[in-house]
Amino acid sequence: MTVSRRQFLKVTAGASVATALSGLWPAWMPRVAFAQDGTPGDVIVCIFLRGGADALNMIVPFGDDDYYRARPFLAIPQPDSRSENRVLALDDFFGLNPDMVQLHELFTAGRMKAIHACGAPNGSRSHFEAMDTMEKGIDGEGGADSGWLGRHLMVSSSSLDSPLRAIGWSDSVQTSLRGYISATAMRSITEYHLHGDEAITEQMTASLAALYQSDDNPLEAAATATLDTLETIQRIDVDSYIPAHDATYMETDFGRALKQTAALIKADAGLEVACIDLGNFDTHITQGVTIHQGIGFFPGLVKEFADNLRAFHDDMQQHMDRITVVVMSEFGRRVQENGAGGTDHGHGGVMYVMNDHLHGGRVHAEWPGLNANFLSNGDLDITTDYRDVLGEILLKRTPRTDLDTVFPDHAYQPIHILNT
Amino acid sequence: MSLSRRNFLKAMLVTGAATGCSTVIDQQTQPGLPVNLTLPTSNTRHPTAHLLNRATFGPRPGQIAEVATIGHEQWIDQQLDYKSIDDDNVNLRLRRYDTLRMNTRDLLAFNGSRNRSLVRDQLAVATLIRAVYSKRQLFEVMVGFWSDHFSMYHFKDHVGTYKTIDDREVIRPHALGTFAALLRASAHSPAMLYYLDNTENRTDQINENYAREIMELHTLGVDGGYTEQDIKEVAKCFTGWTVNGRGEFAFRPEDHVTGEKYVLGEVILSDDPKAEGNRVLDILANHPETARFVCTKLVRRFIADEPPTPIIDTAVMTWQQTHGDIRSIVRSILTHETFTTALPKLKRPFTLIASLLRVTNARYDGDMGLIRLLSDMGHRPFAWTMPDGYPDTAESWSGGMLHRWNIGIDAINGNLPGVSVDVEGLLQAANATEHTWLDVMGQLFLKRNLTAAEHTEFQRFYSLHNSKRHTLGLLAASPAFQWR
Repeated sequence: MTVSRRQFLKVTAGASVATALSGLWPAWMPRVAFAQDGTPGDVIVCIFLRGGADALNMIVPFGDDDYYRARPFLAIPQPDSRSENRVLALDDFFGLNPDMVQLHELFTAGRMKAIHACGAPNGSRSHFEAMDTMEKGIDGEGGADSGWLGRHLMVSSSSLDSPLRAIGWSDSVQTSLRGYISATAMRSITEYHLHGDEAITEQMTASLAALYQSDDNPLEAAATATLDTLETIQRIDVDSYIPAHDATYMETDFGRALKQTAALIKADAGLEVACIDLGNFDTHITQGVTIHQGIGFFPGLVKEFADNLRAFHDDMQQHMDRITVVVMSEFGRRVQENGAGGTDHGHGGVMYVMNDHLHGGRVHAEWPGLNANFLSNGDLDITTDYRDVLGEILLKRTPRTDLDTVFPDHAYQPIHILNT
Repeated sequence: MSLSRRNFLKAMLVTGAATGCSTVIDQQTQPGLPVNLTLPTSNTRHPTAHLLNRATFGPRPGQIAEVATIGHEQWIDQQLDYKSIDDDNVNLRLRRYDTLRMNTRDLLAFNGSRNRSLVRDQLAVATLIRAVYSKRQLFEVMVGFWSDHFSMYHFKDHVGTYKTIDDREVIRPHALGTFAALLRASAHSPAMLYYLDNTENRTDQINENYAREIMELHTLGVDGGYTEQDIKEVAKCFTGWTVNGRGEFAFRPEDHVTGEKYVLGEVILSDDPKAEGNRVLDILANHPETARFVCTKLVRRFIADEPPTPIIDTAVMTWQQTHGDIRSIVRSILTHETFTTALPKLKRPFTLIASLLRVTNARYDGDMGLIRLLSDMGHRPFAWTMPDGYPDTAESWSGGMLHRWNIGIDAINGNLPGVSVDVEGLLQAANATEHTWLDVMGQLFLKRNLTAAEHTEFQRFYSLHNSKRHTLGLLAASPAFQWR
């Protein structure tokens, strides 16, 4: 990170004026600004695809014949096929699911990349266990009870941290954020206020603060964080937020979470980590191939994923220099499709990274092959530990981290997916 | 009054005239307040409050004195013998929810229909109404426990319609029966067969989902000593277990993988294909790891987030002595010598709302808005996506502070959907005066005297605007009321 945050703000000030002139600059923008000491690094947007996303049908290894042998019904045709369902080539071996077309430009422009055959090498094939250990960033049971992002936020915290430093767009904070007590779970900014007679809200807030302030009250920290967040958030009017560059987010939980993340980043509210979930990837039955065929719910899900992520990128173009989006799932799915037009729990999966500092090809993979001899219990093997992806992001994009704390069970191996 | 009321109830039950007069029924079945409400006046919480906080969805006004008089063990025995408790009041309230009583055929008509949310909504709201109004409180607590243990996601395919049958014919009949019978009923439940995809588990396409979860979540636990190979073998044993066109359990021999299987070191003979699955259920139900896993969860629910080993050991011993008799196991936990010293448990959102409605004797008319609020708090009944059920530790639920505060404030102010609280009635019942009202309400909510610090803060807040209602809202939002 060579440009400090303050310098960055100066640099982008010109852009702000231009946007203001065009009448699009939101009125709420300059009201909340958090002082920072030093460089806090990128805003990390961590997207978790819940349920075990079918990596092989998102980033398709069309160069591997065994893919087509294992998936007579579900395989997506090769890029040179004449099928309307064909994959969009990323290189001479991997292609993008055609329903993720909105991300194709980002891949080809070097603004997004996939890391394939990736995951937790000792990972479980049970959703809960796999998600739990992955979000905690540890090897197995009995380890830390905090999440990798929670520990990262702890080791990199300072006295000037914003109450909105970490947000989980969810009903309760994601496991990965656990351990950082100020992490806030919310579904929407506008819904986040204290009810009751408005005339006494201030007094009510003061009394709640007094009541929850007690040494033997385990809820004190959570209450204090909530009160701080309330105070900060009442100064942000997200309803009037207009995304830049005509970016359009879907009116879904996922779309709204990305949109509000964008709003908070532009409001300079001190956001450093946002966790967003997209669920329903547990495609045991009738997962479907592409939207064009009109069967199954997988195609709609990957489209929701891709379209909204593209919207976020369009919206945040001028800010991508200090944002890293990382996408993960608890595991990939079995190579062999099942008889119900679905896929069962597998092992190796795919991760995605989106920022302005990518290095190398569009797909990073040490491909283990899908031949039965190379499979791990019938599943894609793992050649890249997910913690090397996350570790590289933290190390290169967030100057104040400490990987020994964040991933205590794992010795980071550079994988060179980022240049700075 | 009580006589005419009784006759009214009988008449309603006999004629079945329930629709169209829900408001009348709500009024008639609303519990009254004791004429002279006696409240705990100690600086430490009344010991009976501890029992009622764990074994019910929170004490109702007057219940502390009542249960203290009966005696804890006697009350526990009464509650465990739940069928002997007259629950006409709540049954009458539930009459308006016709889908609860529908047979499979009629329920199936909702599949694919625009109205199918009705089935889900009625079961969800009935669950809350039972928690608030049923006199079979310990039974309802156990129904809640097993609904988490055999968790299902209401919004997956047909689960939303079949869950009503599962609740009525699997969970409720066996909630205080034996674990083996409960497990067997669950394995035959169309809702479960759909939810964990066993309807797709057949010869040409083994689906391991149910096999994995029955061992990991329903019986042995993830550390219960089974292997990936065991999962594959158990999956084979359950091939052909499915749901027929009439929506009932069916075994289809043609879909069953023949041949011997090996499960947890035992040979499963294949002379009777249907019996293989039952044999697996027996092995799992009687496995020592199952006793330990399920007892640990029970102790976590009733005692503490970090379940103390001595109580688990007692529960496991009772399990072994009684062959998994749930009644005896629950009794052994609630009467354990260290029960009274158990650490506080954070109320999960469902319990927070139910306990608030109970402690204030609120009227609740079944408004779905309250279910939507639970949804916002991530705790709508039967809406946890994953089969492991809603988490049961404070850590998982401490993120929703703002919701917790707003619920307290809204309930007392009449802004919680379908809920009204008669503040004046409560004050009158407790013989509160201008001087004592704050102390008395503190005792009602917290079952102890307010601490000096609490009293000072509430008094200060009250003096700013002289609104008892707002002050009670703050009391309901206060830290002490968040714990049970």
